[in-house]
Amino acid sequence: MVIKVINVKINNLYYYDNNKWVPFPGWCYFFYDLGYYIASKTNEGVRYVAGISIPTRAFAASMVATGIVLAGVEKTGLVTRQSYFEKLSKLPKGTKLVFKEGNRFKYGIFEGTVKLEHFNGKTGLRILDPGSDDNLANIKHINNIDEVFIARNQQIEIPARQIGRIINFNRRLIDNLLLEKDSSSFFLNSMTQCLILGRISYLKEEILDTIIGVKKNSYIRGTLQDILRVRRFLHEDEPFKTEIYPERNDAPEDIFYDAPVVIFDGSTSFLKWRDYYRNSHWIVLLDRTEPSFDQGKAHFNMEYIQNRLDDKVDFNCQEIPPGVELVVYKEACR
Amino acid sequence: MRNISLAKASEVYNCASKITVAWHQVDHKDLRRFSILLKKFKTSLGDTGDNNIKKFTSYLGRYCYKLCAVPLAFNDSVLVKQSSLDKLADLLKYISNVHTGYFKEAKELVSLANKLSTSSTNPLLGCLLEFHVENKPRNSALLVKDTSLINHVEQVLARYQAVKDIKIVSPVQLRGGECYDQLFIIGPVKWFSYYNDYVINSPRAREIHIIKFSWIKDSWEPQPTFTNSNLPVNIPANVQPSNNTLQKDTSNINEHVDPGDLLPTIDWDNIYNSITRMEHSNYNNECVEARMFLLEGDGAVFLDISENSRSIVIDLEVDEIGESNNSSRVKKINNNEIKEGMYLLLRTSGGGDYIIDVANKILGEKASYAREMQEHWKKLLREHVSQRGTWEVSKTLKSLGSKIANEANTRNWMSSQNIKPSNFEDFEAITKLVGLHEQVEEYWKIATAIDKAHRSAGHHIRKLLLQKVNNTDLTILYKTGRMDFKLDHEDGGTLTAFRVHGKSPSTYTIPVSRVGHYFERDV
Repeated sequence: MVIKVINVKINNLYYYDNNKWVPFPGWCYFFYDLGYYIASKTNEGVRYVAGISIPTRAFAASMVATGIVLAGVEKTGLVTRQSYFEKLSKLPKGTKLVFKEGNRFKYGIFEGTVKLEHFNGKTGLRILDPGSDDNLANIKHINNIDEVFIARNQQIEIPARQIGRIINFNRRLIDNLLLEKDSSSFFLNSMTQCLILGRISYLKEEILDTIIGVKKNSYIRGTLQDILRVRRFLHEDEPFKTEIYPERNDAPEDIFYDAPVVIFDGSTSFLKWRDYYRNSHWIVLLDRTEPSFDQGKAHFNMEYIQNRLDDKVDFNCQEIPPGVELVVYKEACR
Repeated sequence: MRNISLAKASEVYNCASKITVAWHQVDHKDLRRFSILLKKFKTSLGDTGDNNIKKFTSYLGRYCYKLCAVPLAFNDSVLVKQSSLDKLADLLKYISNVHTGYFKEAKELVSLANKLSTSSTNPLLGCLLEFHVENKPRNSALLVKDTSLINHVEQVLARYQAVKDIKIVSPVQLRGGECYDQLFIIGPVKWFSYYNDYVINSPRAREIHIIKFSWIKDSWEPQPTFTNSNLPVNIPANVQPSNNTLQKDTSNINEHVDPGDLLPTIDWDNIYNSITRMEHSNYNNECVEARMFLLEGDGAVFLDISENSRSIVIDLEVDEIGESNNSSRVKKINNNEIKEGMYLLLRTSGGGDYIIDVANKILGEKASYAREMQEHWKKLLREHVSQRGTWEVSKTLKSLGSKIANEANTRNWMSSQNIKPSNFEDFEAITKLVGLHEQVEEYWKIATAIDKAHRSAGHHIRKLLLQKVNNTDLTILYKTGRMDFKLDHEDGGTLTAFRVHGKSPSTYTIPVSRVGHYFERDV
């Protein structure tokens, strides 16, 4: 079956350069399509691995991540939701979480799971707001599990009375990107859809400092951060969709850095981190100008030879950009 | 490299979509004869083990390489020094006496070198000028392999109207987002394959022109990255090398030289012998095991390889933000971890170790007293070792309560490069051995103070450097592989960052006074 790649069309993106709006180049949409395609795949036992050899890593990870995040709007994400729910269920009691109550996000304490009779006997998470008057736990089940995430700061003193935080979004930009899709779920869902292992300074410039726009009657301005919602560039209790972790740091705490799709932004991160994410889809960006490119290439090819199940994939991309080489294959999860 | 904007990244993809590659071959009768004869001479010699012969071929090889690597007149003073020609003449005399069978060829080589050194032309430059006069490119760059000559090449080309605007770039700069209409490469493209072939397969220009001498073999075949790309490979389709000879090659095409044969080889032992000959005559008892690091240009340095010996480096591959402290761009790392491509910081003005100077400032008035006390127990320990050997002394230290005394640790403890043992028990054993046990507390306090001052000094210098590196345009560092950093500090210390090009496979025993001191290799 051939899956139609673009469901959330973003062919009307522009960027602001030298006081004028310039249409996004074709190569950007290629990376978007690839991210969208990989994120559309469930990883039940089988995961997808894409290797891309490129002349520069600039904007490749950001655009792949954009595809991944917007694919999350389209996709039911049942398996992803299920695995995320299971992961949260296994947290130690007392773990601090951030959860949505009404239209605000608040801190809460994980109190374990509960069987929900009104929900076909399925399990829910008990989350307590310690300052609430009724002292009753909030219950989150699998359908609204994306309204919960682990607080980055586990040492935080939760205030006795929390008002909660209303999150500001660039609603105009997202509404115009998603068109007929439901943008409200986009704003409130908070779940890592994508993890980028790369250079923060570069990605920060691309994601926060590059002005993008959607053409309507006039241009609706924004940045890629409005779409990607990178956690480290947000306030710690704001909903997020993307994590970025520095390629050279020591091992991240697994609790924070896990995702259905992992982007290795360069050989260095691939060489260092690949063994940590054997159950996620991989998108491996190999920049040919990197000093460690040859090493990254050798290890990628070794992975391909040793681990591939199948390389029949249905990625229908109109055109691979010049100077880009691509391989996509399937591998068993571990 | 700084980040690349979306517009610049698009230019990179544009270059990849339109790239054409052309080879321009030029000839020079005497240089051809020189190159081919030198190759044959080296082959016929084999490995003689004779250092004078090695020096002879090394001088000639380096000269030949430079003539083929830069568009400078053959008689340019940076390519050949009179002192080198004089040394060649001396070595020729040696060959006439010791290796008579090789004298004829050696004599011809020296004669050709002398003849070339008087020539004010270079066909590489001629070809470059001719192209610019005919085509008048507006945004061109010139890639030079030997980055230590970049500044000089820039000055020379500025004298020619046709190429005065050409930008001279190093391979490292072609990893960024700056793109050109034409990129001229001097020398065979194979010389640049050390850089993952990216100069051609990730081009930063729409046209690449390779200007080289005709007798140097050269070719380039695009290599796919992946074992089995299941989707159309898009790199080779865009690179269609053509072979365009601007100047007719009239000589025997069967005689060729491989690009690798022209690259200068490093004779580590020879460098070590020539540099340490003087110091050994003033042998002052204290030597350390060190590794030699080759630095940008013709520089080198010996660095102590003992476990705790560290140096400050700039690693431009590290992110400026977000990474943990041990991943900072300016960091102090174990000398064994220093890699090719990093930039080693050495003090090039003021002499000596900058950390010691700063540490002395931190110690204040106590500095000279502390240093004297420190040197005193080390000197006594060295005397014991020179009388009884490290093995005996380490055994005695163990019997006196040391936990980790062994030969290597004993050597470290007596070295002035090392401040003190980590554990008090080891230090106490030393003081018992050298007869200072009654004052052990005082000596320990002083050694701890020096250690603390050194750590603070290292931290302080790293902080100053980090500020400097983050606030400085590093183009010069990328381009030439070296850059001075004047620290905003009361003594106005200057450190120079040198790109590391390699390290010796084996280690050498050298006087401690040599450690960390930059020197120019005799080439």
